[in-house]
Amino acid sequence: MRKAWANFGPSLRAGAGRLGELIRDELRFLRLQPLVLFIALLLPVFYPPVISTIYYRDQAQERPTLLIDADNSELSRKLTSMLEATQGLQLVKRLGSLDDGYEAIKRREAELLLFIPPDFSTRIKQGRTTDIKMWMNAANMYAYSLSYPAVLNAVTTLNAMIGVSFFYTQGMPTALAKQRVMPINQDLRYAYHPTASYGNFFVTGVWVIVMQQLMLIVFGFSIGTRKEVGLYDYENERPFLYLAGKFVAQSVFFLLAMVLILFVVQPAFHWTLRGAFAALLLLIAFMIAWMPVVVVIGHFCRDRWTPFQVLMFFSTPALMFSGFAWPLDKMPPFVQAVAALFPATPTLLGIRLAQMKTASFAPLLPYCGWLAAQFVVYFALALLIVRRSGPQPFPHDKPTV
Amino acid sequence: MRRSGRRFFAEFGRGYRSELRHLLLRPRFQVMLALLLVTGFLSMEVYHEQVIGGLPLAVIDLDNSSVSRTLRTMVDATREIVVVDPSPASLDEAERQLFAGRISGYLYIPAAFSVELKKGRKPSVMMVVDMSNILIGKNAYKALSRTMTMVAAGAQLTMVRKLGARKEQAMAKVAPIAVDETYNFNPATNYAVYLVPALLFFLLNVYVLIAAATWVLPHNRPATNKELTGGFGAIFTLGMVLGLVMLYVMLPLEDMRPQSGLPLVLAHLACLMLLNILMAYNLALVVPSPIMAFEVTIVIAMLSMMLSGVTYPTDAFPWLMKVWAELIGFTPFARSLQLLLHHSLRLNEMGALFFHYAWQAALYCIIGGTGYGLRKLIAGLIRKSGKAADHA
Repeated sequence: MRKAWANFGPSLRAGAGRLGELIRDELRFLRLQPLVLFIALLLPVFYPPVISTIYYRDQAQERPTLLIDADNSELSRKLTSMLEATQGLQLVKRLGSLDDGYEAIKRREAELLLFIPPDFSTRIKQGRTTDIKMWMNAANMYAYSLSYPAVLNAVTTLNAMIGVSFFYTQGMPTALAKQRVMPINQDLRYAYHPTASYGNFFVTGVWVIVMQQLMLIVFGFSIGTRKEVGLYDYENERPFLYLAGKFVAQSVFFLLAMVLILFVVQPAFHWTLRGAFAALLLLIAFMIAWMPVVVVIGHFCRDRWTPFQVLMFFSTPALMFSGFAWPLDKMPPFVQAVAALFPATPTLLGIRLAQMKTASFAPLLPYCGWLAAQFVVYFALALLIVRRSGPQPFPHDKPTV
Repeated sequence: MRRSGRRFFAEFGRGYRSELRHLLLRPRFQVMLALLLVTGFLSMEVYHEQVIGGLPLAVIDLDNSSVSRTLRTMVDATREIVVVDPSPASLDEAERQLFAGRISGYLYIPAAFSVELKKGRKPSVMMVVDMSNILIGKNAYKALSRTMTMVAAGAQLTMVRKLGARKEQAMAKVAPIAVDETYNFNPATNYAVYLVPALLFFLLNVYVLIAAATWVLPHNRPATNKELTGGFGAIFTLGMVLGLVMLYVMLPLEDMRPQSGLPLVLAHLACLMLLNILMAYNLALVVPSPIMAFEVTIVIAMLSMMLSGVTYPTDAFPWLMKVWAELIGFTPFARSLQLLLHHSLRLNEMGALFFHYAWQAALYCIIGGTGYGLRKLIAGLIRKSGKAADHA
């Protein structure tokens, strides 16, 4: 036992030395293969600014609306001007017939069609209720969530004004009448994200997926290129360590990408991030948990094309079933189980805390624990898989992909 | 003439068979196909519940009056919300639970709520929703706001009746204008309809683009253009088959199926496949390095969902992104998908979309042709200057 402990120090030093050698070898390789380096730098430099630019306005506003005012009374014009005044709608055209309007909605010339009936003001004056008709393109739920409340708010405000005038005719002073209309005050607070904007909500989650894909592609591309140019050591006694060393060397680029995203792109585009350092630590934990998976996938990459061909299918679904947008507990159990296996899931859930809720790292610890558990399991599995199966060589005799 | 036609078909067939074998029998393409179907199915199942419901919400009722209890019951009765029991004992506790994500929001009813309401002083209730996830926040807000408006309208109605208005007239004094809503393209306003079709076809779009970009790689590219076309034919066929599987097998699992006829569906699918193949081929002509051409194709493929306007409307993009979005074949297809799934349309009603496909195809060909010509010209000039230098 004592002897084993005595050997522990030197063997650890030898292991570290071997790892250092592997890291130096990979860095030399990256210097000699500018294309690998180019991809390692291109992905983080290209994707985050482009995605940020797509959502630069943060919030879609003024959804295109068509109006048919068949009444054309003072009251209908008042409603029209109230609709026009909202941020959610923009009246793009006034039409003469419902058929034209309906066709225009189908042709996607507008998202909303409003019809004010011919007896609109007459009915209200007679003390009867009236309907305004609304046809809405609800295919884009986000656009719908902007225009629908805008219409409802305008109608509620006009209803309230009519209500006030009723109380006024009953002899109430205006101030008191206003108290009687919609007599409960709704004090609404949007916690953590007061603008409720789409870009700010969505973009930070995409960074996790960008990092996930960056690691997969750069590592796979580098291993594939090595095999193609004949620089892969198929005879290595410790194949897992051989691959892990390369991953560690490439981690420098992954860390740079994280820093670029969190400390340059994020503030440059004014995306909210309360805890940039907490987010960085979480992304590092993600990188560690993802490493065994990346190593195994890299192990099976026969050439530099494989990662691009195969790994693209992981990106969007990983975001979809992570629970970042659609709550995890609202998914079927088997999807939840699959989602729980992806290191992107705890990272995405944790990064939202760092993004919106807290600058502290402590609340992110449960997610780090989840990542740690994944790392242990994946590390053991990766060790086993890499040892058991030989690396896939590049077919030099017939290099078709 | 007949002989040359026969030769064309022979070479076309050779390319077709060769690429079809690649796509179906090579392990990496089998993995791609499996990933396409598995991730497509999983992504579809994410939205199986279709709408957000049962969000946990706390009600801190310090009033505990008949009105406040009604309010609580009505909030609990909404589809979106489930009131948690027991309620947090204080605002601090509610804030802690909100932070931890155990509740999606809380409703705070102050102690003198019903008294103030009876006295006509317009009391306030505080509604706090967790907007860190806008999907949860907006659904919780919608349900809370709707309930509050109903209760407020009820209180106003009581007041109007007290002032002597008859029962049948009272509603017209409170809410004389109602909104009658009809939803096109997504009648039940559910998230599956919003995202699932686009997501499935985005994955197919990526698959076809990768397959086409792989087929034009130098070590893969066949000797003749006829064989190359045959290979594209195989990609086109497989893409069409997969598209039909998605539309008529996968989407029906989520109660969605095309309302338009098969010919129109086929026409749109064919346009998407042809545009993808044209894009991959022309990028390979324009970009000098094969690996760069391959990467550019994939970069465009990966951004096509975001740029299509399915999730975030394209008119909210900055102009450059708007232009980019219009140039991608997936954008008009995503628009047509919404029409095909919800309306029984005729071919002539979709003229604008077919026109969009047509000018995209023309543009790809112009870009590809110009780029190829320029490349040849530059290569020729370099060769000429090299020869001149050698001669000197």
